[in-house]
Amino acid sequence: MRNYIVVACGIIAACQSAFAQKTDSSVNYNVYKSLLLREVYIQPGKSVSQSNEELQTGGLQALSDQILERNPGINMIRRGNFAMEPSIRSLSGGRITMTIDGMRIFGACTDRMDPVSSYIEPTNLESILVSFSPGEDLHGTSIGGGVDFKLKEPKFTEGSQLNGMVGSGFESNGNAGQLLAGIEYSSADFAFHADGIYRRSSNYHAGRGTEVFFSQYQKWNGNISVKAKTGLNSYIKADYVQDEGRDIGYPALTMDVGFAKAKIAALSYMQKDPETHTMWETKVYYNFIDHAMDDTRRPVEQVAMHMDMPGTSRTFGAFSSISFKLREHHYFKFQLDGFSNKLSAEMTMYPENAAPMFMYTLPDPARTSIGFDFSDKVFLNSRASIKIGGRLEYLHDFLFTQAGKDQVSGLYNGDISRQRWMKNLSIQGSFHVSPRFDLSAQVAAGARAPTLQEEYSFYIYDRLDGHDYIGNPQLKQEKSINLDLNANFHTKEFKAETNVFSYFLRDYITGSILPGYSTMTIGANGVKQFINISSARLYGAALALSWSPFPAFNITSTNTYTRGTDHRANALLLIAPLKSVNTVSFQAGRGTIFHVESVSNARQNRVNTELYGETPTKGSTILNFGASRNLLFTPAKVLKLSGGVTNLMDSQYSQHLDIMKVLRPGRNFFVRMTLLF
Amino acid sequence: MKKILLLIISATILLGSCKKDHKAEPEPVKIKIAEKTTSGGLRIALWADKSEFTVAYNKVYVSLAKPDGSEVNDASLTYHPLMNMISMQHSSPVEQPVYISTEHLYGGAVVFSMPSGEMGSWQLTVNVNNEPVVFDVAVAPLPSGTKYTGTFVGTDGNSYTVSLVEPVLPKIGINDIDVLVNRRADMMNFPADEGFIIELNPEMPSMGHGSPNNVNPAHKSNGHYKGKVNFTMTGDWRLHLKLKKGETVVVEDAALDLFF
Ligand SMILES: [Cu+2]
Repeated sequence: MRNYIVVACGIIAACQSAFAQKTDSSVNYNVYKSLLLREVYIQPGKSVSQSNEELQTGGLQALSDQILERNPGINMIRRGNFAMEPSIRSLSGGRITMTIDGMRIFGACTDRMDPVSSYIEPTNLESILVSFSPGEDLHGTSIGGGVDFKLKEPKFTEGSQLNGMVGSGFESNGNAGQLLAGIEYSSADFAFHADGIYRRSSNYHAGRGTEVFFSQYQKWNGNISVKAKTGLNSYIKADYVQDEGRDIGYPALTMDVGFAKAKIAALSYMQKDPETHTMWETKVYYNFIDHAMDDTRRPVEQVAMHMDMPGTSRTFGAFSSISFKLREHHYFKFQLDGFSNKLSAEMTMYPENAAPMFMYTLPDPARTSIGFDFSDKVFLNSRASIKIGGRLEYLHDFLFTQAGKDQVSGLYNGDISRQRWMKNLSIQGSFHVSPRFDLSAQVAAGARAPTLQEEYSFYIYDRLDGHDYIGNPQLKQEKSINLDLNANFHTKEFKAETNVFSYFLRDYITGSILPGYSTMTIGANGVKQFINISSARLYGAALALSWSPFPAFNITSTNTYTRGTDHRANALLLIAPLKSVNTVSFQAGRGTIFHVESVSNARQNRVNTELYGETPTKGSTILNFGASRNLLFTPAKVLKLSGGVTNLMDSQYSQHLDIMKVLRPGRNFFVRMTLLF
Repeated sequence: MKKILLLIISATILLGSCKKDHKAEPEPVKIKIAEKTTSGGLRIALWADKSEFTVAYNKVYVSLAKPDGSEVNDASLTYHPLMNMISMQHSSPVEQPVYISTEHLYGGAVVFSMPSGEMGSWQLTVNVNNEPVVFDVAVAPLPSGTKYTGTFVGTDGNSYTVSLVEPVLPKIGINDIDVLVNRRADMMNFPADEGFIIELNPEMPSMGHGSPNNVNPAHKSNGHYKGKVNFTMTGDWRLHLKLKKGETVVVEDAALDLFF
């Protein structure tokens, strides 16, 4: 028994083993969606072996949301057909971090209409890295890990080289389509990459022909990245991403979006020393998000009173991270980072025959942070390794204008700025029991600060429970102890991964009714304030199986389950039910791949309507079918064709994390083509 | 060398002092409404915070100067507002002036309870050392949707004039509120009433919501009740004031309206 514990404490992280499998060419092509992977590579390759995973990720043409949703640990909170919000093991919002290439960036919308993932396109990306635990190479303190979007990185090449890509796709449901193009120039000491994409969609139809009104969107996105060598092993890189959405409908909410714009800029300096395995990256960055909600397209009878609700978010930050080999089998990494984020959101209502009514919904709150991050990895022997990671962060929250302070003088007394120290720590052990079997375990102590919204919201309406929310500057940080166990078994034909996890949360932040307060929003049920409840628990499991009896054929099944309860055993909010994704894929001849997939969600009955306004959600199963083919004109020129149908049976359904149970799309045919040259 | 040093030092001092002068806050601007001369040759001028008096609690100032321009700061002054209507005359609540040495003015206040116009016209008599000086003053109506003063008949049979003294410039957030209550003894006398317990409830009529964390105005002095009012947003606000004597409700809803 004691041996077991010792073993369990000395095992490799699932992400490492998974990463290793990624490079194992015999199982290369179906690795993504089937297993509990942590990193999804985005860029299209020219080889056939990658086609299947590209079919899963939609080439570059699916939305970032849709790619994220394919990760077994992730569910998306849907408020419409656009800008879905990732939920990692049913943790979302401030409990996870979302970064772009390590840069902190925060949405500007008070109604959570613009998660960071909505401002980044697959064309901008090299990969998406998901971590499920705090203290795991992250760029911020968290409870449940986070997502880092790795920006495209053009490569230096021996001779000079010019590559390009154009693509287009069409979807029958909603007459949606996209056009994209990219170009990359590389030489020995200079590299350049640029890409752009335009997307649009009309209202889509749910199953059995029901039109979902206000589900349209339009956007464009562009990205430029320039790299120049400054020495044998060093270079500078500049990145600029601009993303502009317009006329975006949110059927689950009472308002739509007039525009949502992001400007993201970064300048990095990278130094590498292959001999000592040293990598030193320093980055400064700035991003600006401008968001404006709009109710002018809604029918007059749906709009109790016309209002404007603009919001902005500005973040300036920098970090420097260095990783090196301390000695044989011992790697060390540390990072110093800091950022300053300023939010502002306001509302102006226009009553008939009375003066316009103005207020801040976010009264100019700001957060500055300085953080220190380290991770230390030691290979104890050829079978066992241990990794320790931690983060210490100092945060200062305050209101940066007098107008903001004046407004909240009616809610809070005294100094409402807050300073706090945050700590994350994780210890992870991995152990290869045999060449086919490995185990890993992780214990982590997570903590997260309340978000600026949780601290300083001013009557922000939440459609889900119909309450106006007031922030609470007195909130304590939320803390957790996380346990994570992984067992992986793999042979050439068969793979099984299991993962069991639990989060023991203390000072869990949630909304609580504030009696005696009158609502601001017309028709709201009441006013809630964010408070700490003593504890909450979240636990769950994932099981992934993959079977390839012969190389051209593969069956995979991923199953995930989470369950959350608060200190009084009430069900927590937005907890995804059991989800099962089962896929059969088959490679026919040279370069043609077919796949059939079923996505099932069990019924979710564990809800607390009284506390959180949630109602049970029916179970659902949909069937998807897809095929892709690569046409090679020359080794350098590849035309990728794919097509298929999602929700083949035209089921009318919604999932539990779909706000207001807005129906998901019904049957949808799609065709996509991408030319790489 | 020494001279240059001295020059530099004195120049710096001069510049420094110059800067200080610029920083000095200008005195609150008062606007002259009218000017007269008493039989004794004193120049008496009427001043206000705004360019005209309105149907509200108005601060009224008087400056008094001898013919040579030197100010008189020890005169005895009283205000007597009077509304001349076709069928009747009436006065209104008044706060008698006292000398404010920092402003070189006598300051008091008058609650003009109705606008001047076809219904009648206002006179303000200033008694200077027992010599009446009569000013005809125009009282402008307030913008529609606002009500800074009102007269309410109580359950005890008395009429009460309730006037908003503060906030003059409302802002979002917590504001000091000052309410003046006067009882109508007769048409000419409106003594301050100090015996009320007031409950305050702000409301936005166009939306129906109120605001949290208001502090009921409590009596401070001379009929002034002071508390806090929380305006959560700009727009139209109605202040519901419930006037009680002990447990007895005297005025159920003395409502005043403002917007900003
Ligand atoms: Cu929004």
